[in-house]
Amino acid sequence: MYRFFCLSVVLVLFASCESVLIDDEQTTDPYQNFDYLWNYIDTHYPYLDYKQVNWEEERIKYRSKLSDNTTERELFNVMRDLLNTLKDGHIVLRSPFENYYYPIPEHENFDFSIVEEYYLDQTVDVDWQKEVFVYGILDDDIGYVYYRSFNRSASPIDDILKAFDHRGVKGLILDIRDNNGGKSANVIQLAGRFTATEKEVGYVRFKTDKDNFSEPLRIYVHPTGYRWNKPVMLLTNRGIYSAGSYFSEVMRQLDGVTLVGTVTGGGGGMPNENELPNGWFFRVPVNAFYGKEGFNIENGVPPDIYQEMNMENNAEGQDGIIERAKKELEELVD
Amino acid sequence: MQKIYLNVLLFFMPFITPLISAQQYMEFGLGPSLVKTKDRNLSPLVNRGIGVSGHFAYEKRDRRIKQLQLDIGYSTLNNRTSSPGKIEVFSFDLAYTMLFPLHLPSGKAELFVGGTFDVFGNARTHLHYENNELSYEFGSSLAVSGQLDYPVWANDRRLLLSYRLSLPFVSYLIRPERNIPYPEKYLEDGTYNLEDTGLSGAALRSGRIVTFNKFQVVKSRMFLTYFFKKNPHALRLGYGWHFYATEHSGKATVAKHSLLCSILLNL
Repeated sequence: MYRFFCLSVVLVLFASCESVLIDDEQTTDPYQNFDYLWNYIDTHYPYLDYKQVNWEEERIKYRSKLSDNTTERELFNVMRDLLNTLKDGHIVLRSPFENYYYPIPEHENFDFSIVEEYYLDQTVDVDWQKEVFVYGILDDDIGYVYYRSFNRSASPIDDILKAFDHRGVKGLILDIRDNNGGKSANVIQLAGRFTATEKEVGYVRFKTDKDNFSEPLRIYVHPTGYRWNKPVMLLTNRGIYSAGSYFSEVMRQLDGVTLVGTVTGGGGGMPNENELPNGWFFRVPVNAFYGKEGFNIENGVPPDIYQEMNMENNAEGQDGIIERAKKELEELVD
Repeated sequence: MQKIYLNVLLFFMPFITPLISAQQYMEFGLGPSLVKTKDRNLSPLVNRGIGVSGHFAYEKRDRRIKQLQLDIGYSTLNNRTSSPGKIEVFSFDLAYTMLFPLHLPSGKAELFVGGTFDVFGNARTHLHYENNELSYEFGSSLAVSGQLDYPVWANDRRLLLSYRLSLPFVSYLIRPERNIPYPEKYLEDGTYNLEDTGLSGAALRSGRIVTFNKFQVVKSRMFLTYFFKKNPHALRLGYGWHFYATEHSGKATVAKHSLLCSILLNL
């Protein structure tokens, strides 16, 4: 019995010694935290070559600003400056006292109050809204839909498109200006309303280590939900980011779709989240989306028809991009 | 899929055979658990926390010990930093164990050796993440198992002190690949399914056969069983330690300590 008891004690002690087996990397050491972030980007971030960033040089430059006495705020500032070199709106660093985001342009060539006041207000059914979609029928029988976030399901658009067809609209203006992204699944599902056949629209490559990428993983769009077969004008601006840029790139490959506006904001990587050894949260893209013929969307998707808003027209309640889209639709239909 | 069906069939085979005269118990246990985990797909930090564990088992003893058991657990964990994340852990382990007696010279203690086949899962969700909030290990294992029983008497009451150790030597392990929740096979066919459809089937097919050097697992349990004098039932107090580590698709380590208080109903 005594031997059994001793054996039991030894086994319990053995079990409680697992700290040896699970090495905690927690530390506030500025060098170790800096190195963790730098290494993560070095082995995961897919755009270092594309953006012509010499990551090793940046490491030397910013690491030299650290010392053993670096405070948390100073460390945050050094990391912020390091991350700024990547100019990537997907990258985030959060500490208990400050958050870092690379700014995404907003409200360039877009003012939703003009749309609400001067366009949707002219419709028979004023201010329609179905979940995240705002829509109406403009004069000249043109359907207008505004989709503000890919975080919300695309399915409600089916009822809108059905209603438009029922009213006999000639074409659709799909406005995604200032849509700064969301779930990629909603990109594929929304685009599926505008294609009659399955179509390969691009591919994704993961960075697998410092110097290598995965094989291309192809992406397809296939018919989904209510099929819209009339002309579509997709309105774009610089405020469109991430899933919004995916969508723009996918749509410009579909028959009957024309992009009108300015270059989108880009954001072609899917970001992953992780933590630093001091517990700060960070987010960094780990793969890259490439569209038609390998086009890299990181710096934006160009429109088919370049059009900016004219500020003088804004004051008169005219959105230059919507007006251009209406004109193009009229010409297409006539 | 055929392999999965075969595994399921083999799993239940022992229960198809006719029962012979033996002691049979149903065990229902519940207790607190302490969970520690580190998964580099989520964080370099060790997250720890308490939770609850449930243990359900059917046990039959004649000369051999046969047991079908289900362990489930839920815990919430955090790290000990100034900006702690929060991780929820869900786990299950469905195991069938068969142990055969070995003669020991001492005569008092009884030693059983045999094997265990189990189907397990451990899923962790990081509540502050959006794109890669989920990490997991699912699969099944074949293990070498042993149990040492030592009968003791205290104040004329019969007790049985037992220790069981199980060491899986080969496993079918499913882990997310490339730091995202998708399993490896899901990405290998050359397409990227952004719509997240058909994940479960792809996940089941996406595991790898790994041996002990790639997936180190230790499951141990010490328990004291008290047999009532006036009825055929029993009470059991147990302490379990379950540890595993893998470097397959990113390093992950999980340790769970659980205290269990069970009632054994004699059938």
